[in-house]
Amino acid sequence: MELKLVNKDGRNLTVKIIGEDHTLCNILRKTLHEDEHVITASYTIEHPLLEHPTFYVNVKKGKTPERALTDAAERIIESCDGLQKKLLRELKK
Amino acid sequence: MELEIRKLVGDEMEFVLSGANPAFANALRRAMLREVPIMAIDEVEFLVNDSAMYDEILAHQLALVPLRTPDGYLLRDECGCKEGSCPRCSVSLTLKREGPATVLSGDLKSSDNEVVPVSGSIPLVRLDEGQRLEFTAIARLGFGREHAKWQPGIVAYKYVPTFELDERACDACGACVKRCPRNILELSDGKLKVVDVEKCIMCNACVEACPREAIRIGHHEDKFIFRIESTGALPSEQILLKALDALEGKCKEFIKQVKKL
Repeated sequence: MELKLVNKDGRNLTVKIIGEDHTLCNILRKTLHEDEHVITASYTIEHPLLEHPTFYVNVKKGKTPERALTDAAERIIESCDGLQKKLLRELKK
Repeated sequence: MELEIRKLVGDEMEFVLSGANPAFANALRRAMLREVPIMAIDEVEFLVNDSAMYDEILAHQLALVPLRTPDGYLLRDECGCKEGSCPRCSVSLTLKREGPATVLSGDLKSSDNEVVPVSGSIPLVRLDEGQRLEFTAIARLGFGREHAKWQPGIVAYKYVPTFELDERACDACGACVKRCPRNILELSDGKLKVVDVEKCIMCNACVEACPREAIRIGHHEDKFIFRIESTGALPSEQILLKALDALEGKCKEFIKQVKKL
């Protein structure tokens, strides 16, 4: 994975996420929507074979867009972790 | 988020994920299909092929034979060996047969007895009297996003259906009972009952059949029934564990990259 900065000004951030697809982008978008500091979060894949997703995020005052992104990713990690623990517990039964 | 295993038999697993949103359910499904590496034949060198099948068709057939995948192998890129086929990142499988015979997946001889076809009875090609087949194949780890041969199984989920009945409007005429394709409705003591709502496929046939508009079909917003059917390459619970790991890994890498911005 590699991030390419497309545009950045104050509370807006647009990045290209090289080597990723809907798997990460959609859950990231959805998790950002749950953040009260986030006004807009969306992504587009112009062409499924030729293009990498372009991710856009727009935040309110009080949080940088970068921070919003890392917070969202951390929340997904937490969910995965929790689920993994529950799965292991279920498997031991 | 809660997870409850309903069934875990052989290569099949069914579990209920609750407290999740559709985006997470789909990310999990996609991660299981695309991001869990398994072994599959990637390269075949034919020494003799007298069979009626062309080399490339046979190679394609071979690639789709599910192989058991133990832990410990490296991806080709991770390994970085020059030849791309060292014992750390690949397994070689050989086959030598002479007709008349039906060549089966069980005839493949593997260099690692843990990486063997899941089933030995998959027919590969038929050889006639005197026809010979001899080849060496290289199996490697790969991702389902690259080719379906590296897909560890079939994964799907569905919403948990809900059946709402307006009991005042229902006159127990039985029209819906007859129309339901899954036969999950029944009349007992002049009342309409749902036998197993999870069998409902949300086709709305009962809603259309009802002359008094007493039925409403919906679904839970945050509950999903997942079904994993492994090819046998990995146990189905391993597919789920590894998919969660992969999703986590992606997020960790993403955080690292954001910090570099």
